[in-house]
Amino acid sequence: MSNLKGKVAFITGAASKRGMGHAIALRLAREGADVVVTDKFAAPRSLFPGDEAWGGLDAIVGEIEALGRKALAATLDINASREIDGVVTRALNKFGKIDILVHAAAIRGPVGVPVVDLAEKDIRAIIDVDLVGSFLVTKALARAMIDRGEGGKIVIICSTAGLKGVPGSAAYGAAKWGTIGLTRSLALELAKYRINVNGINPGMFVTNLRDESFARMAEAQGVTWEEARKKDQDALAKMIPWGRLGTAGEIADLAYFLVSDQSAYMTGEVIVLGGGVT
Amino acid sequence: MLLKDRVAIVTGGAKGIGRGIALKFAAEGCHVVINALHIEGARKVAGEVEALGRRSLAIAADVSKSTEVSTMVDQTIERFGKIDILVNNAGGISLARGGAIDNTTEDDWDRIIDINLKGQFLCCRAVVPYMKKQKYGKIVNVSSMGAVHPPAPIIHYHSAKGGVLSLTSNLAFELARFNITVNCLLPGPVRSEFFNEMFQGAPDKEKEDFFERLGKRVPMQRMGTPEDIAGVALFLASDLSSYVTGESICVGGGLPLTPD
Repeated sequence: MSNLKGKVAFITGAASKRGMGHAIALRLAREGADVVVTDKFAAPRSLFPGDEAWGGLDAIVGEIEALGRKALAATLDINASREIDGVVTRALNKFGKIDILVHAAAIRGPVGVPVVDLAEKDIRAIIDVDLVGSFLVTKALARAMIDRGEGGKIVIICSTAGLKGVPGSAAYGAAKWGTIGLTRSLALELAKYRINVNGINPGMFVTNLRDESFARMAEAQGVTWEEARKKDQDALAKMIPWGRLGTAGEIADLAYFLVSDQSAYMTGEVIVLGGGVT
Repeated sequence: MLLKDRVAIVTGGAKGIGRGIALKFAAEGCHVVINALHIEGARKVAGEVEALGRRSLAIAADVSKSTEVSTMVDQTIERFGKIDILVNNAGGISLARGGAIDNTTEDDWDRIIDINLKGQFLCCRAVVPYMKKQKYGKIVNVSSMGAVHPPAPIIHYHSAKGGVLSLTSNLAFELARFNITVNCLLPGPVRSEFFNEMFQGAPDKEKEDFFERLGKRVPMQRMGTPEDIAGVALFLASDLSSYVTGESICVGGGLPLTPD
């Protein structure tokens, strides 16, 4: 399989310890890429036991450099196009180009709240980050790739929530449906520039995305955070043909394939990664 | 190397996409059994696999006949002791009477369904016991973009390839607990021997002009190559896809999405 030596990757939503963005950044670095790691928060809190001292973006830069690659870290609010342009400019100044974008940044929003009870500010916040943010990030990076004229690879992390109804999380589901539409439209717009645009629909994964939900469950059930997490995930695992939740490393494997030469003729595809969940 | 010391059977491996997959797998460390209807073509590709430093075995078998499939699997086990990967690529089409329903005889239908759908069922059924036993397996079924977006009416072939999508999702569900992934890829237009029958006796330029016109209908503005398809088959046959199962992946340069 081709390696990524000499390539420059730009990752959003990279700072969570157990996050997909972090795993993808390390995977691409291990395959030879230099990596720009961005996140709204420099060091998001992880509630997993043992993660208390997590160093966020700075720690990831250290991990990438330990692999012999170069890294650039930046905090980035994907809702602010001027901020995105600033970070892209910094990345171009440091590396001279960006070959790969993996857009992983997203928020989950309230879980178990029906639309009739969902606050307008929550609806707007989720759509703004998960959908509008995806537009703004891909717009800026696609522009840089087009200007360079050497093609490129864009991977958008969507969700299986974008394939069906999601009662209790309608705004998240609607935003993720939107990211799939964005992926397919962008693929058609950018095909002539030899920029592949593909998406990943993760099923159920062990990440930090639901840390706060587990905290609320733990409080309601009078159990520890880890007990609440385990109970929830054991129940979810029974719904998955593969019998377990996915890992961030498995997302990283798929992302690596999608940014490699092996997927040169694939564009506009959104692949479900869910251990048989559809 | 992604497939070091794995053993794969590639059906329809003597030419086109099958040959591309066999050589890609061999380059990644895999020993490859090359199946084809006729032994000469299979032997040639088996030689190419061996030239890459891997072991190979050429087997002539009609995948639509269960006895021949069983013999193929027995020979593979006898030679290699295991089967890690099955690529169901063998397929065929006859356009002698076109593909419209009015001109499709019952015999045409049966034959094309047998080759393109029953053949995949028979090969899966024959290898699954070995994969279950070793608690590991990767099955890659080759469908066609025509299954979801027919470029022309070819009712028997496209129906068979549509059946492959259901075969894939059903089997993926059934085999998940045995650590066996089952996925499917849908190639778009690929420059291969697939089009030979259409251009039998025609000058090369006519074929090239056709390929160019077809390529322009693809968002990426070119036809695919066996190498393009083999790249995705490699992903699905490797442990990079260890949590991907039941998926059908289009490899068509942006098809079946259409810009208009």
